[in-house]
Amino acid sequence: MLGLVRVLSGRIALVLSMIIVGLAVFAAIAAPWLPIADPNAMDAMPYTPPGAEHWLGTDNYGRDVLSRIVWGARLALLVALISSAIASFLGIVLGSISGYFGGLIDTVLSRTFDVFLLIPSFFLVLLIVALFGSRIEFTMVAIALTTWPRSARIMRAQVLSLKSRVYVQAAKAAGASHARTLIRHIIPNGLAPIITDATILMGLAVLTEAGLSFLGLGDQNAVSWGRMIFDGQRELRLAPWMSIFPGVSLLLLVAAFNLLGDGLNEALNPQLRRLTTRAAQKPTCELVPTVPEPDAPILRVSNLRMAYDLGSNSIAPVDGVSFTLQRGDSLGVVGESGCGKSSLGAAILQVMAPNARMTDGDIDLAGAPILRDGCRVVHNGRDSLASLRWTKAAIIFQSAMNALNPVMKVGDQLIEAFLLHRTDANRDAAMQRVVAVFDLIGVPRARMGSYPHELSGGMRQRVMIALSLLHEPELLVADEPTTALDVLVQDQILGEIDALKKQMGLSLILISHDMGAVAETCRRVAVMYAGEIIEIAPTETIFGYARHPYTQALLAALPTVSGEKRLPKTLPGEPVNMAEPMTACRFAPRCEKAADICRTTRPPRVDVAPEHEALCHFAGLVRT
Amino acid sequence: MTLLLETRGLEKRYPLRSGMMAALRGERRSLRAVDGINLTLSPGEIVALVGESGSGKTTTGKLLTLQETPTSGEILFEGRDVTTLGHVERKAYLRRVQMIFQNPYEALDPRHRVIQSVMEPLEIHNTGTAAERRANAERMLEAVELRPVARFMDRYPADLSGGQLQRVAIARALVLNPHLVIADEPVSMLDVSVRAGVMNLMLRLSRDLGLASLYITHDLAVARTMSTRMAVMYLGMVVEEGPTEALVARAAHPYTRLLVASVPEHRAGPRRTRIKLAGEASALTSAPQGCRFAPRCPLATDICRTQIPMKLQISADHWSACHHALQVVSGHQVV
Repeated sequence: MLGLVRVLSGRIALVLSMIIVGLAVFAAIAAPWLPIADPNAMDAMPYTPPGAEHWLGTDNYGRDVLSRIVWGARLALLVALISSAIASFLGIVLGSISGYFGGLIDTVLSRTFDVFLLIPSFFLVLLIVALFGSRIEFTMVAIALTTWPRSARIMRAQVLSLKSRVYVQAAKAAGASHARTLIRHIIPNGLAPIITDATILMGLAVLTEAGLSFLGLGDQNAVSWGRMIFDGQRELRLAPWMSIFPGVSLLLLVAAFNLLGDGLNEALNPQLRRLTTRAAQKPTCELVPTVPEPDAPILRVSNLRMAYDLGSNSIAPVDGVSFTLQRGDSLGVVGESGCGKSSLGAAILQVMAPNARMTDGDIDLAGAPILRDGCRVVHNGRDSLASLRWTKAAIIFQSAMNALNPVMKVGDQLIEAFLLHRTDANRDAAMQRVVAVFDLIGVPRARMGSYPHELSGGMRQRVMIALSLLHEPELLVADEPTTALDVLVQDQILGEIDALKKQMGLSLILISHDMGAVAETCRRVAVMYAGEIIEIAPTETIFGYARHPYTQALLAALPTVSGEKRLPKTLPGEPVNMAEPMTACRFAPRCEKAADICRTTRPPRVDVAPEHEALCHFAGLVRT
Repeated sequence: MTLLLETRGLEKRYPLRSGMMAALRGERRSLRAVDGINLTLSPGEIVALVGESGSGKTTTGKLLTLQETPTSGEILFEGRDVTTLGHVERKAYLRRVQMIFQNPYEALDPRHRVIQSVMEPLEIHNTGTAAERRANAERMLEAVELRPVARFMDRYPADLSGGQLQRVAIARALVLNPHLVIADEPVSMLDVSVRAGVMNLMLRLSRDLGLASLYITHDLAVARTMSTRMAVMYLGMVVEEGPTEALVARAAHPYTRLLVASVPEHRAGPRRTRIKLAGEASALTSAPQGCRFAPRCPLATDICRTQIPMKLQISADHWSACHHALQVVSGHQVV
């Protein structure tokens, strides 16, 4: 029920169409008991205009139009329901078989769908009705026969995508039969678009039946809107109400079915749902530019906070993060998924998702203020970061290697990217720069003429790194740059990033879930948990003398290839729910060493040693 | 000792669509995903199958669970070839061999409650009454430490974390009391803190239930934790096989050495010196001349490019398919 309310909220068309369909259904079911006249009784005055006695008037035989519309809804809905049920059923069964078994079965069935779709449906219906008579059952079957290939094609496409899902493979690997796999796992998961389409089929069926009746091929004994319109059009001058009211009913019901289909599609299809709303950003603040100090650190972040708006609630993936990065230094940010490390990376360069907003904090990039108290800094209406992004600082994203334009040679993409920021340069200069960055990161020059799909994953990621280095940034933020790659390639690329750091004097922030990758590439390590840096220290300190129980537990949980074989140590529990407000130590529920104070009081930031801070009540105590 | 599982010359090729001209010339190319492998598993033993993506390790897992039909070769389970079984015997085999998949977020039907997913294998194999099946599934959820069971069993997959989902998948795989579990990278998508818990759980259950496992992974450190024996695959072939500790400490194939060296160590210090490794593994579409690792191998000599290396026995249970295996094992600098 709650789910229904959520689906309906903000969808006026869907609600309206449900009301209309609901009214029609009520009228159809309740027709015999409603206080209306007999639809076939000819006891009133013919051609009575709408009035107190006959709200919608009477027809040429003196029958009540309102009553006939109500009874006509009964026929319309019956045809809609039964013909779309037959069509959907046929479509689900044949579409599933076609998609699931493939091969020859699929070829034969698919061609059958195509042939049926080619037949002009109204003429097939005409033919069937002409051959077998105009009983309502034949009309329904005829409509179903011309519409089922639509459902079949949709179902086939659904099954084709669903049959490669892991849970379907898992069912088969467990020994499930084809029938079981289809009925238990594939069909239930593929039904949503069929249901959606069925409502549109219902609209179509209502229209087809009305059309048939209009042509005099409908069931002569039933009250039909189509027949009413036909009878009315001869008397259009004399009694316009005879055709207008059934016409409007028909229009409303068919429109409602179509709107219902669209609305359901939007509600049931996650791809059409707009999950993210644009978060309201804080106003920008105007700051008089000052000359940046020459020896200012490349990056200073203090008390940074950001929030994601998720519908009605929001979470804080970065919740009071402070650190300073000197020029040429490197910082690894490690933590588990959901700890906020990627959000932190995006926040530094202000390239966050649209539903993210900064709530507090300052950022200074190479001595220039770009964020103050969560507000973007502007000079003369120009964003202060715009000129610094890519030229002072660049970011490589996790899935960046898939972000290259597939129809453009990689060399041309880089040249274009170079010229975008360097309007003074010509193409030759751009070419030279691209060759230079390709050399730096180990992409063979010959690869400039390749399209992205011609490159391996490792090469594509190298191209993305080259792209980020085009404008000689001083700071590189790399968010899981090697995660999707094979181990040997990952090792190579980490080595190349390490070399770049030394060659270009690059400052580096490497965001990774992999403690090992960070250990070998960065001088310092920050460990994040639930939006906070819970420990930050030089790398050897983190790996040798970690003070925070979470850091210690993470290290103990890692398997190794060197030294004595030891079993990884289990860390109990699950990462915290960030939606909850913070009143105590966030790690306390999972911490072996937690005391009462940990569950009640926020831990202080303890200076353990120079450059070593830990967010733990017990960090200052003697090492255990 | 009798073997639980043995593959003999197991091969899987996928036909490739070739161009019209090639078709006219009668050329037929195929991708050699698995190119003649011989694996053995004793009852209760855990063997790690290690390799990069494209090495054929996942295809091997699919062949063993009959999700794919081998192009040639045999899979002997307790001495009987299972690739040619009839319907009933095939189902009986699938009851004793279970698979755990890599992606826990997709391995469970999103519309089924946890308890339904765990009961499903029992339903498929018509085991016991409905009440017995439920009790069995609940016992299994308890065994994978999803406690309290009553809180978890009626939830849907979307409500569980990755670690919890993988525990459900393990419960589902073990509920039929199989003799062999094929685990395809079961922890690679899990967070570090959760990963250790799942690995320890699998080790404990294997020991308690006397279960044999083929543990498929690309991560040498995970393979070392989980297995007692290890087979390293490269482009469809096993290139080295032996006791896990021997392979980790004294590998006799340059590829294994490189894999071991590529595992980042969890301690600070100067970066290991590394060699430039040429290129990336690309799928084989024709029979290779010589060693298939030669194009990338830092030790490759002329013989490597012309002659297919034979298995070279390093010790009783350790062999390597490398022309220079003896040099490598005696500590020749590879990395």
